[in-house]
Amino acid sequence: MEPETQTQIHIAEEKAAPVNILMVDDEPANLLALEAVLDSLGQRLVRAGSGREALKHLMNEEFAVILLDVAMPVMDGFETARLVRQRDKNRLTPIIFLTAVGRTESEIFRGYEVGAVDYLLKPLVPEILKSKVLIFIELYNKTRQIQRLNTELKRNVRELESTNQELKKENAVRRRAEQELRHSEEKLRVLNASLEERVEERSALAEERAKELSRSNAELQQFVHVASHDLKEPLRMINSFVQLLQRQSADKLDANSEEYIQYVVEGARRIQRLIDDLLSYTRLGARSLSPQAVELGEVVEEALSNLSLAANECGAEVTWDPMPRVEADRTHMVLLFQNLVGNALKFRGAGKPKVHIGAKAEIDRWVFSVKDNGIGIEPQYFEKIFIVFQRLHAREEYPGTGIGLALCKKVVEQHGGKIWVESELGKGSAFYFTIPKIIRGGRHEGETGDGTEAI
Amino acid sequence: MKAKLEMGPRPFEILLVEDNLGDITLMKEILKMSKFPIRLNVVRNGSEALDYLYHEGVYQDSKEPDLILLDLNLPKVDGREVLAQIKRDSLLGHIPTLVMTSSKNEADVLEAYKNNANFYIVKPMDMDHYMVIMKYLEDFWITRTNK
Ligand SMILES: Nc1ncnc2c1ncn2[C@@H]1O[C@H](COP(=O)(O)OP(=O)(O)OP(=O)(O)O)[C@@H](O)[C@H]1O
Ligand SMILES: [Mg+2]
Repeated sequence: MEPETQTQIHIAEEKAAPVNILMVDDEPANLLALEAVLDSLGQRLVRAGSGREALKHLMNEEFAVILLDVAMPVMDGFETARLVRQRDKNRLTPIIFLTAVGRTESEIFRGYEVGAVDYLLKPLVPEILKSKVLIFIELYNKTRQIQRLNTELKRNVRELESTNQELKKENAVRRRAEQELRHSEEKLRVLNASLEERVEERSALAEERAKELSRSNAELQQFVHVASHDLKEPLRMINSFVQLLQRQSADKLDANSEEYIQYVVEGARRIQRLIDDLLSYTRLGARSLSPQAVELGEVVEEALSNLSLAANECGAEVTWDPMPRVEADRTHMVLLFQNLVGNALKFRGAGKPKVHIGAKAEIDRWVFSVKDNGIGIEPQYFEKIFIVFQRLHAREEYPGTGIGLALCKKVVEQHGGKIWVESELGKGSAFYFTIPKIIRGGRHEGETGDGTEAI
Repeated sequence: MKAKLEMGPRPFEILLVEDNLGDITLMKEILKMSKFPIRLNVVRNGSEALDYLYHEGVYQDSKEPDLILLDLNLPKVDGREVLAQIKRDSLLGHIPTLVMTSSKNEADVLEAYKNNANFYIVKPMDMDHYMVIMKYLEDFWITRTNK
């Protein structure tokens, strides 16, 4: 038994802080004796010489156990115990009565009545005293521990409750969010529906527009066709007769008249050229593309040979990169390169004209360039020059009607590409255009169904 | 060839079927420049052309032309009908008929050849081109017919 008790003490000492033990006796010698026995328990021992003193201690402190001498003057142990028990705080504080051997049974019974938990008979046996006190210390510690656990538990419960509350709150928030989501989903659905409706409306409109456009395109083409022919008739008259006049009456005309006639001839020629250009521009849209594998190297050579006269005349140096094979309309490709290189030669600067034709592969397209060291173009005209009949110079400076680049743009766009210019005035120009490597659906973008509608 | 040609006493007869006065005058002026003697007879529309060829109405005394220059777009009876009628008739079919128009309309060209036109001429826009055409008339038609 002993070793176990030792162990328990040890644990008690380790685990719990020292507790208060109240010793009440009117004999100081008795108190000293008690102290001597209980000292080894390592608790805090509080001495009281009377019941009154004991009550005073109890008011200020909490005690794990009270050792109470029964036979005390003025206020004996029983009376003291009765008063202790009256205090709410000490209703359950264990009281061990210390009493002399030979007291009557009725006295012991009275002790239990006033709340004693145990009796120890004097003279005290130290080991018994120790182990009894120890039991109450343990009890006290346990109770305290349970209380602590209890409060902790309570706190935990409280925490749990608050967490729960928070969760509930969160839940509510989530529910609200979900509700809102559902709400906005609904809104989105409605919006989508109306959007779809609108898109449908739009595409119907677009379709109608496209139809209208192709109709007016066809009409415009018809108009251009008729107009050019009807314009050509009287022009032919002007041309022919003025020339006849020149031939037959040259000797009868004075210098002025001859000059004037020359103006008429020139003017008529220009109108004729304009009409021809307009016709070929119109026809470019009327003719459907016939894309085939085209060796652009050959195309460039053909374009250059068509330009060889002009090129040789101005001593130009024309170079070009290795050219790829592309899916394209061959005739149109020649037209394209010829116009761009033709321009590069025509709009040359004072120095020796140098023209380079470049080809660069990108992922899904080719980027071609025609670069010159000519007179250059001001940025504000970068877009304008691609419009039909849009020119930047007097005819006396540079001949032409201004159809070339419009044709180029049309050709490039019919092939699904883009054309643009980069240039600096006085330094030179670089015209770029792209040709897709793959023709969508076997046809180039921009080509119309039967090839007769678009201009 | 030349010797034979010079022996031919009569001028080369051309019937010009043309409604446009300007074109008529032009043709006259051009043919005047030819080194061959040419007589140009002019009618102004399709029905006159047929009268001329069949010696009807005012054309009782008309001579059969050596060559017909036929404008396609004519008032009354259209040039296309005149062409078809000429080539349908075994008595007229042998006369070389050259169609002349200001349009290069492919359909017109095709139809003309289908109706056995002997040549299709687009009216030239300038004098040089006219001279080329006259040279062609001389080389291919006037000299041969005069053989
Ligand atoms: N390489 C170039 N350098 C400088 N200016 C250019 C060059 N290419 C075009 N331009 C400018 O753009 C204008 C439009 O060019 P575009 O080819 O359409 O017409 P054009 O050459 O004047 O006449 P056309 O091509 O009908 O003979 C030109 O009049 C010129 O002012
Ligand atoms: Mg040009």
